[in-house]
Amino acid sequence: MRNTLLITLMLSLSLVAGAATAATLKDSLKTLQTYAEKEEHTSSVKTQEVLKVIDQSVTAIIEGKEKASPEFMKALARAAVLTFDADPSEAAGELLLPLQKKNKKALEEAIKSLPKKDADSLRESLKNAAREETQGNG
Amino acid sequence: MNLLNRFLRTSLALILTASSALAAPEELQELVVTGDLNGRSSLDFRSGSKNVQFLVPEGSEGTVIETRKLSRTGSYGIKVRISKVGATKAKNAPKVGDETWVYFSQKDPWLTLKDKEGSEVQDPEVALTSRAKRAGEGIPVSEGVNPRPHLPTKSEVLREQKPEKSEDPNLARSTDPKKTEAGFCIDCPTGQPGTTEKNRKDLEALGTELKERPQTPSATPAVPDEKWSNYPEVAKYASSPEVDKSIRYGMRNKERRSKRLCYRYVKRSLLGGDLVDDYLPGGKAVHAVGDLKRRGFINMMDDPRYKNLIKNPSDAPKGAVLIYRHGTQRNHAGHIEIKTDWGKNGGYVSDFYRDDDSPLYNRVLVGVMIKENP
Repeated sequence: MRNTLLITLMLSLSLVAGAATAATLKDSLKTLQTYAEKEEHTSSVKTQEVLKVIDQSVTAIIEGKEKASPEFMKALARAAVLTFDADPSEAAGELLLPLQKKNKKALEEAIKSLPKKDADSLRESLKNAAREETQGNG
Repeated sequence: MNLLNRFLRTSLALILTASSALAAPEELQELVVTGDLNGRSSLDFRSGSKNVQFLVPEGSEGTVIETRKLSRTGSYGIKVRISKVGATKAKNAPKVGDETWVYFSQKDPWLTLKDKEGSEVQDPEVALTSRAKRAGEGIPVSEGVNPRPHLPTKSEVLREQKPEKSEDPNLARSTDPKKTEAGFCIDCPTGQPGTTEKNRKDLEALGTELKERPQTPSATPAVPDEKWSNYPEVAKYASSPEVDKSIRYGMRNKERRSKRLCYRYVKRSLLGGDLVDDYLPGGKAVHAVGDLKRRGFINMMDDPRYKNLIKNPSDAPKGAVLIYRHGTQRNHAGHIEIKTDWGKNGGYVSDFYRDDDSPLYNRVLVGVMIKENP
């Protein structure tokens, strides 16, 4: 009886955790798509919000049990490159780096869906962030 | 006499040859382990490193293959090919033919070194240094890493600047290329009698006035930011020609977007602007706090006079060097930039320029550096 209760409790907790992760990515997708469609990328305030969403999404993907859909990855890549307009520090490149390490193929597929100029821009940003991580910025 | 001279010369030559032979470092050949030693796969002898291959027991012997001087401690690493294994019950003892690195310190050797004749080496330090120099002194570096990079000099930093954007003052002010900047004056007379004489008299009068004017002591430069108006040393730094030159260098050579080389670009700006006398070392921006302190800068965030006045980057004075750490990653290189003007009028320049409306993401300000005597 006790074991059954324990197993039920653990299953419920994992379902709740999974549901929270799915809600996070679903909400994030909406924010990322709005940022791109409504051309909010010129606003610094909106850009800071989107950087936070990108940060949280990458963390959720790396730690969570749910896999990000190709649609989500494309929205993530699109939003990341749009942040460069209002954020010359290109923080999004640094934020996507852990995702590139975990699932390079999926991210590369998403980057390929971007216009060539944007795709090259994002790849260069990721390359610079990777170099900074190992060699510093001096 | 001739015989005597010849004898003296020959003796002198023999003495010199003998003494030079004696001075030559002994050729290391063999070593005998006089106490249990760790045998490692690489030249990392730190206690936490996970490269211990064997326990080389007392009484083991081997042929010296290579030696390196460890630059940090002054001790030596010796690579040895085991030719005899001392008595031991350890499971991780080496076998004959195994090669491994062992540690040698003059203070606590645990090794006896022998030369080619099998005699004990009298001066291990000299023998090891000689061998290390032939083998390549210092710890071997990883492939692709330059152990002695060339640091730019001031002349190189000034020479390697991007070209200044040339500006035709006429075209800059007028959008219509058919018109010059100055229009025709239809009211001006073609000549004015006595103009030259009038100018001469005006200059004379000005000279007299200047001589008669009382000399006032040099006033503190005006500070647009009220917060800093009571701090003449801050005003003096911000209005110094070195700060202006450094900011101009930074703005001239910045990139359109970040290359993640902020520290490299700031180093060049500081050297090009004469705020420092040498190219700052180091690869991480966070280390600039210490490096700048060693060059006469102070950190306003640590100084009791200023620390309560700086809550965010826009509070920093013009010309201050701002240093940030990463918000969550302890080992991250951080960020560095130079404030280009006072208050919110100022932006920040490093390898890119950002204005005050584009805050950095996930960076925490740890240093606001100025020089009290630029």
